[in-house]
Amino acid sequence: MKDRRVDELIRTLPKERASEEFTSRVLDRLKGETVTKRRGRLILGMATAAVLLAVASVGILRWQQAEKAELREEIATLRAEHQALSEELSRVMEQSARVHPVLYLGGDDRTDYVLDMNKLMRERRRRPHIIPLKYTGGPI
Amino acid sequence: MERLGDAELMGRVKAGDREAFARLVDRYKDAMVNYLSRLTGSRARAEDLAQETFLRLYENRDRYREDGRFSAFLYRIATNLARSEIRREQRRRMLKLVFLPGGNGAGPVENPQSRLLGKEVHRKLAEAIARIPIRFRIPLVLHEIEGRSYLDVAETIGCREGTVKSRISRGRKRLREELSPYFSGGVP
Repeated sequence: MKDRRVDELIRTLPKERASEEFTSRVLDRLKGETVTKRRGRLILGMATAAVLLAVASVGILRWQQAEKAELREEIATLRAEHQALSEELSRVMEQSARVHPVLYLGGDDRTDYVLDMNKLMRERRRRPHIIPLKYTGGPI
Repeated sequence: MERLGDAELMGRVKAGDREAFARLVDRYKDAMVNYLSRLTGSRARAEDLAQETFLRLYENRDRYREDGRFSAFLYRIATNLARSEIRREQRRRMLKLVFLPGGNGAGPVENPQSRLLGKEVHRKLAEAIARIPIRFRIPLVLHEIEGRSYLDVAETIGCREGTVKSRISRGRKRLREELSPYFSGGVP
């Protein structure tokens, strides 16, 4: 078959035409799609806002929980420290009540001279009018 | 508004003027339906695709540059839509072939467009065009049926003029092969 015959055939092909309502259909679809898109955008916007809000809320909640946990931990540490200090203090007080403080006055290889402060204090309470002499370095 | 050129009307469309848009639709609707009918081989599908083409045109109105030719811009949209539609149709046929034993899946399906064409020869020609591979069919229809220049076709499908000429030539060869049984008196 010659090319010319194909050309002739193509030329005789009738031109297709759009339907009468073509333009109005396009405009209707355009209107419909615009409204749908606008609605879609609105819904999408609202959904996005809701998701963001939810994410932010969860974030804040978690942050608050983390803060609280940290504070709780700090309080527990302080309490433990306080407890340890209290126990230490009561141990020291107990120990100091048991031990009689003495003042070493001197001595030699055979004898140590010590002053029993508990006894001294007891004496002072019993006889408050007696005032101890001040040692000035002279012979006692 | 009748006298306004395509670029001026598009300028108005960009500003949201729907009357200008309607004018452009009126101006190009027949060309689009004819072009898409030849590409898809179906008058009904062509009408739908042509409507879709104008909707895409409106959606992409901001992409249109006044230095570019409007018709090339519009034909490019239509061509891309038709290409996607034809590929979808090919996939559907493949699936039919796989899932419906007995269906031949090949060749154009009898459609309203075919029935509308009065002359048998026109029906055969339309079917033969629809059987040409899409990369040859598009430039062939644009040039031979729509009467667009090689340069226009090249701009529309985004390739060189030389490539367009070569594809048209190969498309014509395929068309000759498709039609030869009918013209030599053989049984199709």
